[in-house]
Amino acid sequence: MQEPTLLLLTALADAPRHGYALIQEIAEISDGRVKMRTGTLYGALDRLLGQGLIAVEREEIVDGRARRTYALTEPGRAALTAETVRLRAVLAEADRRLTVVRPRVRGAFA
Amino acid sequence: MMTTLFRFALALYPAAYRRERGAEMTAVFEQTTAGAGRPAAAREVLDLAAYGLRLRTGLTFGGLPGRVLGAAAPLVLGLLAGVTLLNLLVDVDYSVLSRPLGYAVTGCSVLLLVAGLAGRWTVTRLAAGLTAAGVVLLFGLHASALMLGLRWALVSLVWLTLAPVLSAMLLWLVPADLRPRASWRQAGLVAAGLALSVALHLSRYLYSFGHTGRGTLLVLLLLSVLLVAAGRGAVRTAAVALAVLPYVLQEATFDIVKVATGANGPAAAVGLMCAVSGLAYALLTRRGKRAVTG
Repeated sequence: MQEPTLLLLTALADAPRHGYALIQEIAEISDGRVKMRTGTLYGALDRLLGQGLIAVEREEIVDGRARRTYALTEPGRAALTAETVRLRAVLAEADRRLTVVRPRVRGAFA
Repeated sequence: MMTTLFRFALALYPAAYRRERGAEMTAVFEQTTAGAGRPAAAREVLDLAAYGLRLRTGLTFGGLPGRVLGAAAPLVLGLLAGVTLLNLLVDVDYSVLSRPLGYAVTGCSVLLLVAGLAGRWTVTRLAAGLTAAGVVLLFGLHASALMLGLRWALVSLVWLTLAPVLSAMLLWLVPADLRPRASWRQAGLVAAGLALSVALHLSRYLYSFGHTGRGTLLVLLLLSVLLVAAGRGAVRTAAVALAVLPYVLQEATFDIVKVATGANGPAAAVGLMCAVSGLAYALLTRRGKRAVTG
């Protein structure tokens, strides 16, 4: 799963959100590293809608602005769960390997 | 000013998409650019325009052209690297071409191959662009030194550089979600592209010179295969035709010019128009069956 997809699904995991809220949430999750632009966001949303991983939960007008709220579907939740399991396994392996004490490399005259 | 540019960017989207999402996207754009400087707002507009153009041309994850391009990407990559390396290492006469530039382009082609196999697309696209630019510069300098008339200098340049330029453009246009990742399958397809480059290199004299009409016919045939296969949803067949087309087109340059300016020119034009319109019809009728917009 590519990072923008992972971030988008993560942003929707706890609550449905609208477009601008998703941009803000993704910036927060990635610690400000990923600032998704409007065109990129709608490209990703279109793809995830097409794949059935997210769905439009409601459409409304708030303060005179059109707003569509997106939510994670069951297949989307399953895909995100599978990805977190995979990432957790990689992290655990990385942790295990980092704690293995390696003999220090010595120079020829040490 | 920015509002005008935003409206222009929005106008690039298909009308149906604009009706469905326009108001929502406007709201998001207003919120993201509120308080942002002009450069940030300009980047937002450019990003919006880029996705609009992708939707308009179907170069998206769900669009047929995007899927064909995604499937063709590893072949295009192998072909671009293979043909460039064959030309520069086997064919080129360095007594008339810049040797350092030739070595630099060779390096770019190798980088393209390695980065493509590793699934590093930022480097792959950069290397593809540099390879194409290097080939144009290398042969452009040569063509300008030949003291040909402007017309023949241009035709010669097209004959020498069209394929790398078109192939690099194709690699740049592959939708982000469809860029192949490092895998054995991807490696196999890149290897197939390399094998195709050898086959094309060896067979090029069968249709490039001395066989009037053969090159043009081959281009029309490939174009037909591409459009018919795409129209029928045979993505892999269309992808092979798309990957090979730039090289056949390049080798057939002189033949196309000869046919177009000769007595058979009108017949070739009618043939081309029939092929393109018939196949465009196939694509358009397919369009209605598409379920995914993006």
